[in-house]
Amino acid sequence: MPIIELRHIHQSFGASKILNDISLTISRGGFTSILGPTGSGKTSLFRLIAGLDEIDSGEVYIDQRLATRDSQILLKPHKRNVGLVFQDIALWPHLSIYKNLEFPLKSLKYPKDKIVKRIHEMIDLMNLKGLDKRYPHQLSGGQQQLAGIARALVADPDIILMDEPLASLDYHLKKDLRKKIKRIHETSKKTFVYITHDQEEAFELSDEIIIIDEGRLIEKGKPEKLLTDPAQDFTRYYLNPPSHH
Amino acid sequence: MKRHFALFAVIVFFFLLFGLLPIIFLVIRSVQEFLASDTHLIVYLLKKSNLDLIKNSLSLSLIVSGISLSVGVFFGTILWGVQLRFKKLFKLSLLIPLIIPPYIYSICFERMFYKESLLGGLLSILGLGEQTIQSILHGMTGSAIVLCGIFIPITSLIVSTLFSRISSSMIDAARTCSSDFRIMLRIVLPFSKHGLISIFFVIFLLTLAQLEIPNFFSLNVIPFEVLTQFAAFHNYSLSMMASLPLFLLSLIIFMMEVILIKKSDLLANKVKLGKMDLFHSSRTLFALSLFIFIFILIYLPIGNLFSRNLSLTFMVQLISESTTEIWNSLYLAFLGATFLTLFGLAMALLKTDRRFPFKSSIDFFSIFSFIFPNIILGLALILFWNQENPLSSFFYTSSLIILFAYLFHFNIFPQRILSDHLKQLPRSIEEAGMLAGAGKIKRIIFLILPNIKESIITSFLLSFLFCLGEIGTTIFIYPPGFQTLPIKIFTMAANSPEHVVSGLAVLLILLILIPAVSVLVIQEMRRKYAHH
Ligand SMILES: Nc1ncnc2c1ncn2[C@@H]1O[C@H](COP(=O)(O)OP(=O)(O)OP(=O)(O)O)[C@@H](O)[C@H]1O
Ligand SMILES: [Mg+2]
Repeated sequence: MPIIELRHIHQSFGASKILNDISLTISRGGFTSILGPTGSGKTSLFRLIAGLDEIDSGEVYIDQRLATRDSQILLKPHKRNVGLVFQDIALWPHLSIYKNLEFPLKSLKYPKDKIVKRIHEMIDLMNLKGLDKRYPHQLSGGQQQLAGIARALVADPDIILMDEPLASLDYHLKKDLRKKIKRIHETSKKTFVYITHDQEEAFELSDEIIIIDEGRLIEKGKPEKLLTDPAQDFTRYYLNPPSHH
Repeated sequence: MKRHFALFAVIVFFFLLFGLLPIIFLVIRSVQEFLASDTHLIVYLLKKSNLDLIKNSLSLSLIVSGISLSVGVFFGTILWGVQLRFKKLFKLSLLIPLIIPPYIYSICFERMFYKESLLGGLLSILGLGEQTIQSILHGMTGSAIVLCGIFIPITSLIVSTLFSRISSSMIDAARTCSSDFRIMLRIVLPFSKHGLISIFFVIFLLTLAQLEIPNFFSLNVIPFEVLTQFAAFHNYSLSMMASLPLFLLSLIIFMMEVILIKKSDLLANKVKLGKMDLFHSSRTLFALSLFIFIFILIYLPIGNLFSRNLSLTFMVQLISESTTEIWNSLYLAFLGATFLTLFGLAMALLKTDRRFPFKSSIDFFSIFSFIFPNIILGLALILFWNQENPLSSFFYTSSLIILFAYLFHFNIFPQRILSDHLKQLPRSIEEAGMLAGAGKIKRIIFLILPNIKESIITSFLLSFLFCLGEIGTTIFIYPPGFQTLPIKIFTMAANSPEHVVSGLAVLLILLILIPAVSVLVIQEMRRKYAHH
């Protein structure tokens, strides 16, 4: 049973085509990575899954429900049960970290005692202890990213979309967090969709990889399969660029 | 750097001579008068009519700033976050009340209910005769509606630019977990709260200092008392005393503004622009509400004034009867705009120079001089400069004093327009000139000015418009025999035939529309040019 299904998605901004006839399914509980060169349309794909953008034509199903059809958003973003980690983090600068985590819970009408408990769980999970009273600009880049992830997870969404969450972090923190994300996935059994530039990351984390280029779906499959026996030349080239070593 | 300091000294000197010193002088004199006064001054101050005056002033300001801010936030939200067709047309329409002088606008508004006009006729069919409506509008109601009609449009525009400083991904992050209404309530409004409070205070103060409109609807307020004591009874000390509460309030609000600006700087964030599409399903309703507002409070009153059968021969006759005033107005507005543009440019150059140590004081000057009640400025200037010595009498009897008052009151507009544009210029423009060995003045004239010429023209025309319509200060300090057109309309309105006043108002609006349309054309050209 796929939890996300895209059918013949076309998307353009003005004259330029951003997504071209994309159809794909993402299965429940899996960890799917989306790999592709910069400007290939990864973020755009995320935004339409989350319901943040209309599309020119095509259909988006979330959990078997028709969520977007052509230029009509049938299921609003906050009714889709998705959590999103943004490429530019996008914490709310006028709210403390605690309040940043509280906002989604209050919006989704969690009871008070549950809110406090849940926020503390997230703060523990993301090693943000002692920082919850601070404002975003008082955190380092890495800590901000952790808070961004915490915010996406806090309301316990079924689908978690992460747009290059580790891009701005240093090597050690990256490795650390990668493990953490993997553990969260394994224990929570949620559906993770993960955008990255970093192949190592994609192969370590995911059980399925989607490759897109210039707004087209190139190939989708298990990591080992894509690496050893890709169906497309682009995949082979992209995953194993000719090296001089 | 030496030249910087010289320029800065000129600006400071100007602010001292034609702003701060006269104001301080006024305050000292008022306090002296108060201390030296016999009991009858205190009795005067505590007279019931005076307390009513203060009550009227405060409640009018509170009503107008409250309503303007609330409705302005609503329309500002629409202009910023809702997908609308004709958004640009809406925005342009909302600029109209900014350039029509308030007094002329109240004339337009009142005429709209005459029984010969469209709305008046319609209402009289419904049983609301002209008399009934006049009595409803009399006093607080009319003043409040007209002032809201003036402040709501500009507030909406400012609020929408305020909101556009919120990064679009912040809104998207909220959309994944919250309804649009809650996003407004919990993210957008709190994020912009310093700006919104500051808008509230500025409207409060501008209303408090408003002379013409309450006067038009015969509502007694402090500024009118200041003017009456001064002009009708030549009682300077009572006039000064009456201006004291106004002065104190404006000082307090100015302090708050400064604090608010500092606070809102803390929230500065990297703005990522993106398409906003909030309240998708209600957008038709929202567009309709905006349209109705603009139609009833902007197009209808102004269009109505033009449609009152003012024949061509009558207009020609009016023009020939008012050539002196028209000429005076144009002359003053032209000089005022020239000085304002040059002055604004000097301030903008200093403000955008990274190495200039006092650059932050420029905004301080501008804001202070803008929110300072123009009526007190008028009073202060005349008390300070109307003295028996050649220099004073030169400033006073020539129209120079009016010019300086304009310079003091309106410099925030050219300063902001020019410094915003200067900030956008790549630094390499100047650096390339520096490497080529051009001196600072040469670099400014040949490299910088040509790049901001649209903003210079816009500053000039906007300043021209403001000078052309000014009443509050001018009425105190215009030298004998040097009447401007708005002053003529203001002094004639009470006891002249209705059609003469309407005709003069139409004349003034036409005088204003010409530069206003030029501003639009220039802006449009600039945008086209920027796209290439
Ligand atoms: N709001 C927009 N208006 C116009 N073009 C846009 C807009 N957003 C994205 N694009 C364009 O759409 C294309 C896909 O952008 P997208 O952000 O989805 O790429 P991406 O794969 O996420 O790239 P990156 O890895 O650099 O984040 C790009 O060419 C981009 O320039
Ligand atoms: Mg991206």
